[in-house]
Amino acid sequence: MSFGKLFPRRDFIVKILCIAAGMLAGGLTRPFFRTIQAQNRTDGSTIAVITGKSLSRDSITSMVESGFRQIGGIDRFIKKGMKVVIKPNIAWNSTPDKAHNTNPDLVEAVARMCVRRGASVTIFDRTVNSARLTYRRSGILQAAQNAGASIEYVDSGRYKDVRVPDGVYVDSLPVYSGILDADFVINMPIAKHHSSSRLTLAMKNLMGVIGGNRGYYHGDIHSSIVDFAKTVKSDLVILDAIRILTAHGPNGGTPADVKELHTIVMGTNPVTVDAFAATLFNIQPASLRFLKIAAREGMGEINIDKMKILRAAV
Amino acid sequence: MKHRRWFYIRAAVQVCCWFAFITLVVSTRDPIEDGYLYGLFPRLSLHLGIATSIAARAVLAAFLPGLAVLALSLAFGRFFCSTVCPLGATIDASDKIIARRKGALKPEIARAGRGIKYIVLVVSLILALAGVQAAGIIDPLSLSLRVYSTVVYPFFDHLAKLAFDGLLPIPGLGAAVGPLYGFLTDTVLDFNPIVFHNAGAVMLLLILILLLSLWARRFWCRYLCPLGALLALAGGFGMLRRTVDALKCVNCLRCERDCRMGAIHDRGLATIHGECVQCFECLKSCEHDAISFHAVSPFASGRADATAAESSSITAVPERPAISRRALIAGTAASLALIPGFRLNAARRADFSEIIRPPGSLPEHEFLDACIRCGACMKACPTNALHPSFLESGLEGVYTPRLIPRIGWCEKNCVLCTEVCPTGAIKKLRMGDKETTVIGTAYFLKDLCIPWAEGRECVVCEEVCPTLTKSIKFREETVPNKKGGSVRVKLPYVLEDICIGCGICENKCPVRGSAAIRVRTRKAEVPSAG
Repeated sequence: MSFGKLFPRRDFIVKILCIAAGMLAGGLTRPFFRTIQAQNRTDGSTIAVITGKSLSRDSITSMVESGFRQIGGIDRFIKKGMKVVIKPNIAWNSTPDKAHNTNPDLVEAVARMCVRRGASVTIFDRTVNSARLTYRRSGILQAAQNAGASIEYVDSGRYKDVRVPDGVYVDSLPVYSGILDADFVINMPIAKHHSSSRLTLAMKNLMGVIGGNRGYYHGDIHSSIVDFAKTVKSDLVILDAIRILTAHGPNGGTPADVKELHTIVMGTNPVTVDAFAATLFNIQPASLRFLKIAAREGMGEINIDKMKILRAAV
Repeated sequence: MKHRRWFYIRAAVQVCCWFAFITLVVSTRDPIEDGYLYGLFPRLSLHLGIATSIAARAVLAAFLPGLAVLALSLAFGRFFCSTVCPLGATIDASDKIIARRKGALKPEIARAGRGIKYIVLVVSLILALAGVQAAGIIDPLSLSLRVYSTVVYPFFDHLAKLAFDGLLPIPGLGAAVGPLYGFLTDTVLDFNPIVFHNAGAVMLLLILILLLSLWARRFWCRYLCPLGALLALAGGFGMLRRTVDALKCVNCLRCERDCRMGAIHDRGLATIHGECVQCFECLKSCEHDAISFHAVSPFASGRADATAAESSSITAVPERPAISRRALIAGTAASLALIPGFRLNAARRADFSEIIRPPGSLPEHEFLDACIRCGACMKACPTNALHPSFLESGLEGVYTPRLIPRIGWCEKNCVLCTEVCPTGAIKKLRMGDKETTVIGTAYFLKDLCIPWAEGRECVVCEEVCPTLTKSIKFREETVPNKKGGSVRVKLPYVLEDICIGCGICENKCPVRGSAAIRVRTRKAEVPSAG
């Protein structure tokens, strides 16, 4: 039997072309499918609010485990071999007690669960302070090492311009390719006071994967925040309210400004999670302009009464 | 020829010392637990030690390693110059590239020229006495640390990144060199693109020194180096000495021709001990095994070994270097001319200064005396905020560190520059001290500031301000906007009592070009006339 009989040339070329076309079509439509999947996974207006007892690592780990149970189990979200990106707030060269960055024990617990599920986990943020010092002092570097996740330092050359669907303030934004290439994005903000947007929560946290001129976005911070959330998809939001910073945010504050709530909020829609988080600061969600715009744009539920809130204490 | 291995052993030691120096330069960056080692090389210079102690009016124990070098010189002569000195290694390495004109210097000039370095040493010390720290500018150890930190390292760092930028996008090859790039960025390459203001001015001195080799090998070491002068004085009594067996010597003059220091004369037989740097090149050159290095009494004659000496003619040559009366007088005269040159500094007279010093710096006067201009702080700074000044604070401030907030800010919770400073010109700070260490005060330029000038929201400065209760505040007001209407915006202002002048506001200010918020030195830290 000759090689030619087994693979007749014309047939072979046709097969190759078909396979290539299939791969191309699959590749092109993948983001589309992914969007649909992400939206169908859970009802966006459902959130889990878990309260723990202390700041201890054990307490935080059980909070995360309980949270995943409430929203249907980690298996619903994380599949084996997935490329998962965790995007905490790691902007400031500060220790965890200052409540400037996302709690490292929380990040570690989430990362570890994803790694155990067989996913490869990468953690990064565009820092404001010096990146290496910030990753270390925030405790995130150690957390990633403990969990078996990898960290990445944001490379200023790796932004891609992405169209903002029905942009409120801008038509396109430079988005970090690390987040565009991910199969699953876990948005992990810390809840804190912010002078220009009043609060910085999950939607604002996405600014850390947006390139370009920070000052330009500050020109209309609320509309910009809405555009960030429209452009970058958070497949899952885990909001850190273990310690919250109630004044002099996002990177100042005396010990009196830090409040211990031992709480995390989980959900699939950053708008809904943010609306609930506002109440932790005794702020009406509708009084935050970025939430009002998001609600007007139909991006998520901001009315607390219309949310399905699954509470648990561990 | 038989003993040539000593030449290669010495060369290997020199290469090792150079690598140790480079390793310290490259690793002068976060993380640093104990900064002592990073200032080790400048501490080896007794010239810096003496001059800085005189200028700062305090005995600086930091320079004890310099005393150890001096003690070793009494045993091994001027070995330091051919093994440890990084500038010596640099000059030796460049020697192959820089072609020399044969016999460019007349022998008489070459001989008399050796005295110049003693004049340089005298000038350096007299200036120190007058409170001018000139030693740091010309000392070979602070000079090499400065040049390698702010010019050579950034140059190769940039070159490597450029190469990887070209290689990484190539399919196949990119995947192959990717891990190497990752490894290099973790170990030797700088985390950020690193660039130093006035790097050209820093490089200038080294270029001049290298170009001098056009006239003679190691021109700098022979004729100008003040540390070389000091070690020549000690090395003149060094016990390890070159001796020539006159019975074996055929007076071929190979050793005399090959000597990088011009220390051999009298047809290859005699050595000026303070000039010999124990490089052992003559051992390599001699085809008749007439040369050897022995422990000899420090007071023995400088000529060939005793038995042979009797049979050869004796010429009157200086055997030991010494500070001649002429050097002392010339040095004093030169100093008198230079002191006003350094001290007549407009910045001393002015009631303001634009120069922001690193956190923990001594008061300006004391700082100028104690800083040896080695550039360690600049290399250590993780935000690339510290840069060598040139003439911004006058001749006496040349190469001292200044913070340029538009390029980099003083990072909170960071004390790296205070850790690595070899002299204490920057006092050691603990992490907690940083929150209250004031290096300047911010002020607004309201004609540039976006909310004030254009009626648009901004306050990025307030967002990034690291002080606990924010030294930038704002009041909400209705102001006219550019479209002729009016708009309600937050108008920022500075609380001077809280501001520490870290400069992150100036750095992150989104206004193009010069920032609308800037940091100036505090009044209390401004040098007064004197």
